[in-house]
Amino acid sequence: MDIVLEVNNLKTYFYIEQGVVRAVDGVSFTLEAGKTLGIVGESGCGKSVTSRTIMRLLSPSLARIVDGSIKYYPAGSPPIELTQVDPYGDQIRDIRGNEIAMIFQEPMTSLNPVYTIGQQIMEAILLHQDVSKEVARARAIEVLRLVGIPLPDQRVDQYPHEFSGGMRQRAMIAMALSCNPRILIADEPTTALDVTIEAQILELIQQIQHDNDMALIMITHDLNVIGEVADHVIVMYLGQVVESAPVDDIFDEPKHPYTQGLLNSLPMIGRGERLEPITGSVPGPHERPRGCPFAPRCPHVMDRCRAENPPSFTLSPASEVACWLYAEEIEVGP
Amino acid sequence: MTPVEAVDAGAILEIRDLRLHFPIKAGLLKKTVAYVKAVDGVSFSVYPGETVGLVGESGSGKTTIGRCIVRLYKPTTGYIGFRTSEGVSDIANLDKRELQPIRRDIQMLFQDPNSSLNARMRVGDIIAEPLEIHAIGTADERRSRVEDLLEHVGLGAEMYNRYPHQLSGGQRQRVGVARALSIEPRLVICDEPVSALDVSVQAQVLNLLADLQEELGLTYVFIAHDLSVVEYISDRVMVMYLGKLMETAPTRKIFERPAHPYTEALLNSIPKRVRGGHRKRFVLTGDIPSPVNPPSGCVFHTRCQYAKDICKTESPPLMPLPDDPDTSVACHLVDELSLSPYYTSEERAGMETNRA
Amino acid sequence: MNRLTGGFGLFGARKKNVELGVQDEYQLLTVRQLMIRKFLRNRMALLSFIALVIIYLVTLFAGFFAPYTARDADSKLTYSPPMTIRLQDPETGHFHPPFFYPLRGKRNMETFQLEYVEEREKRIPVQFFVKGEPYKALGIIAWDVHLFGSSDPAERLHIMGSDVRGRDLFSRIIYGGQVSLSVGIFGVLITIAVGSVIGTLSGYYGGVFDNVVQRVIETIRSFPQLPLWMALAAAIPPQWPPEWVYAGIVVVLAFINWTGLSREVRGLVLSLKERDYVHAAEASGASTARIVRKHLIPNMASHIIVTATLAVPVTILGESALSFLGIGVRPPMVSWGLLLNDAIKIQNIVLYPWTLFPGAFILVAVIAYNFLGDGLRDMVDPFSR
Repeated sequence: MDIVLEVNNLKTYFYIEQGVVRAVDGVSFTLEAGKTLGIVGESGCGKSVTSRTIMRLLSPSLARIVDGSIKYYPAGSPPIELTQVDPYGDQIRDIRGNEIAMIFQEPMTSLNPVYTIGQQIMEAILLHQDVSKEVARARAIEVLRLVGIPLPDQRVDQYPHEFSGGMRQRAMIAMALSCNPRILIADEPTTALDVTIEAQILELIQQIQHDNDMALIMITHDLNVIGEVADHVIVMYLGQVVESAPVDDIFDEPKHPYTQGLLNSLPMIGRGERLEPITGSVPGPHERPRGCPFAPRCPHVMDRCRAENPPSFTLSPASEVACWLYAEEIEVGP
Repeated sequence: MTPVEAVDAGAILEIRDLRLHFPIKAGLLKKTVAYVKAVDGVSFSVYPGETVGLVGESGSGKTTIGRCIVRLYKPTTGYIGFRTSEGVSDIANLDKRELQPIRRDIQMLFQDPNSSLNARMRVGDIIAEPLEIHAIGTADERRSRVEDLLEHVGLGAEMYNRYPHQLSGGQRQRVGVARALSIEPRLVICDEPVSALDVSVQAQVLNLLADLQEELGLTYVFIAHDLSVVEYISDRVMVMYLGKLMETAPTRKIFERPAHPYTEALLNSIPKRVRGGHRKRFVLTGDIPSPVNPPSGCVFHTRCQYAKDICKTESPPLMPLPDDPDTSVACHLVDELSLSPYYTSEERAGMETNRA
Repeated sequence: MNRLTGGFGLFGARKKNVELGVQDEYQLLTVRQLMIRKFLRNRMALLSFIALVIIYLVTLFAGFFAPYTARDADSKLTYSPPMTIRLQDPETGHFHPPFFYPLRGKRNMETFQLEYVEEREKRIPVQFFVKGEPYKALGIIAWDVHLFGSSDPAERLHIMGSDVRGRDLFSRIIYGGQVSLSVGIFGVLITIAVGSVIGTLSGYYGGVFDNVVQRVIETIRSFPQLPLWMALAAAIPPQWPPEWVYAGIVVVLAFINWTGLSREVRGLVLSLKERDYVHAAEASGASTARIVRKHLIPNMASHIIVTATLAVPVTILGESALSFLGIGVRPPMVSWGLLLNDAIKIQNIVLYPWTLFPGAFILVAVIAYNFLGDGLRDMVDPFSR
């Protein structure tokens, strides 16, 4: 087992005028090289804030890491505690883009329209590697070819607006891959794309991951995507991990009522039965329930759930669930 | 334009050879330099009480067809026959005044509940608006009807005086549903009504639509890009590509026996879990061509792995399959190809027993 | 593992939420409440709003707040400097109720200037609610009580000095404000009426009408503003009575301003008419008039108000500029620009610096309107942070 990232009890709070928003409120997971971690949840569950906290992309004036640790294990050197590094410092800059890369949902806003695709990829390479411009350009063309952009030696000099949506996402991936990162964080990489293009991009990401033995964090609201790409899944709700399990367990034997509810809400082709939606809707940051965050919508809610937030119960070495239903079955985990 | 008579006697809606070409204007004098062929010769019928799913990727023209049916757009040419108790009228060629009575029978449900509700109006006034426009009932009667509707879509009459921003996304979409149903339409065009919603809320709205259909005998044209949603809600599916229909078939057949290479490609693109490992699939290459300059012949030939010479020159008509008149396909090679389904009928039977 | 089957039916969902009161614990604010909160949080805008309310009230009741009328002259006190209202006798150090020393003019035989000195022997009390010159409050109610003034009608009090004919500058500024500030309001009302109607029509219908309107707007806007104003103002016939000239100036000022508003409204209409709620209304068969009234105007009103608020100071400055140059309103009307005309010569600024006081009022009004406009702009978007 080759762990590259270890997140433990991470809490990121936003301090805004109206009060404190607990965007991420106790998230833990470990990521292994070559494996894919899926983070799934509905809007407002904190999945994107988690990824941005790992990358230290959030402005410290707005968002604060109030607790927890993010340990990054570089190849052949001691681990780095990412919560402690200066978000504007050299150390995180060296890691960001170089060792941990990220692709975003909207490729148009993530690419700068006034520079060519090639210039933007070269910038990333030149920032992190001590190579000449010619080498960087050659490398840029190479990664563009790698992500399946036709005629990369011509495309490299084009501007983002000359690329289609799918092509732009490919270019983003090319940029992310230009420095051979060890971890790729993909935040809803296919949400804005059509299904046929989505399939192309998912296929591409998986192939590259396989070739480079890269660890992947796939953040999405789409359980079907998770089912296809993930090895291990964490399900988030209102900033907390409610269930963490291998992908087959999540789909075949979901433990947490929220995971069950999500799966029962999901139209799956060939299932042929009525959907059983979760009642109500995700509460806003101001209506956050006391006790278990899912209690107001939970069909199995007990008095204890409304009073006390459940800890994570370890059901098997690989799976944990934060739900009082499992309190009697299993002893409280660490 | 020569008037066209209805031929499909059972249909509530019959569309024949519908075209909508948006002009692209340029220059100081706004000269038309080209056309976006958003819808380019589409024909189909919709029967009372059914749900027809209209699927396709962006730029396929599915939303444009929906907007032509409610006459937000005036089609360039074509026939949209809508059957009322007084007979069939051609929506495509009516003027504003003649359309007015028909608008009571056709309503539209929109994708984004944030932009489909006027932020300056109260929920009650939003729902009452179609009633007001058609001057139905007194103010009191309208109010009690709106309160009934609010209960009916699962919101509760106390929502009457709220503003849209005080509601969650799912609640807003319920308001949209209530507005569409307030004047008791017979046909509802649902334009991606759940794609902006969270999974758990999406299921609530889908069930609501299904319940209301059963209760009120509604007919839906359901526009979506998400095939699993379409599979859940539709009786029949129509697959569109670049302004043309590629295939229409009963929902189950689409997934069990796709007859058009594009349908096959779409099914193959759906993310799918394969236990214990990653599935190998074929992926459609390239992007959707521009509807300004669609490819010659079959519009799909540039991305089709089976394309032959005839596909590049001749556009295939949409024809019913000889052995299955419910399924119509626009492909020259329909007899030669054996395409891979999303699941076989045995697999499907397996899925059903698993669940039971 | 025991598989938990979960989920309520759709209608169960509602009951459950109501039972738990999830929706109702949360404080729900209307758009208006949100907007007011937002506005109150902007201190400068609030302060400016209060300042403008005070200025407008004072000019509205000019007769009461001004110690004299605008034409009331005293040839003995021409170009008198501002007089100080005192509480303390500078020699004895004793405190008294507010009073002032009258000024006595003396010709300096070297420079031939009239120089004023305080007559310390005479202590004239300042009286509140003093009877003085008769005036008509709001133009109808005849009255003669002023907020304050000299207790001795023979000894005049000029707190901001007087002009070449010995008229009280402070009073003239208050009366001048009536013209300057109302030109802003009326000019902007015309701007709103013309600009929003033309903007809405050209955005909603587009086509040839839009094309023509846009070209006209571009033509008007391609002229430099001030010279165009001057040319138009100069076209007002000199034999017109002052009231007509006033109306003419209002129209001239609005003539350029409507173009900006109209463009803004057109842009808003172009984006609003593609909103789904407008489509929904259209698909239900709503008339154009209804769509404009119910969907376009309420969603544009706030933007129009902001733009209009920011157009008021432009109009006030425009009137001041024209009057300053002598082609705006004409005597016997007074306006701030016209009063500033006294300071047109550098020699006057040196000798009688108080003739610049009207400029300070213009400055305050213009700044206040700009802050107010900023505050309103924040308020328009109550959901932003």
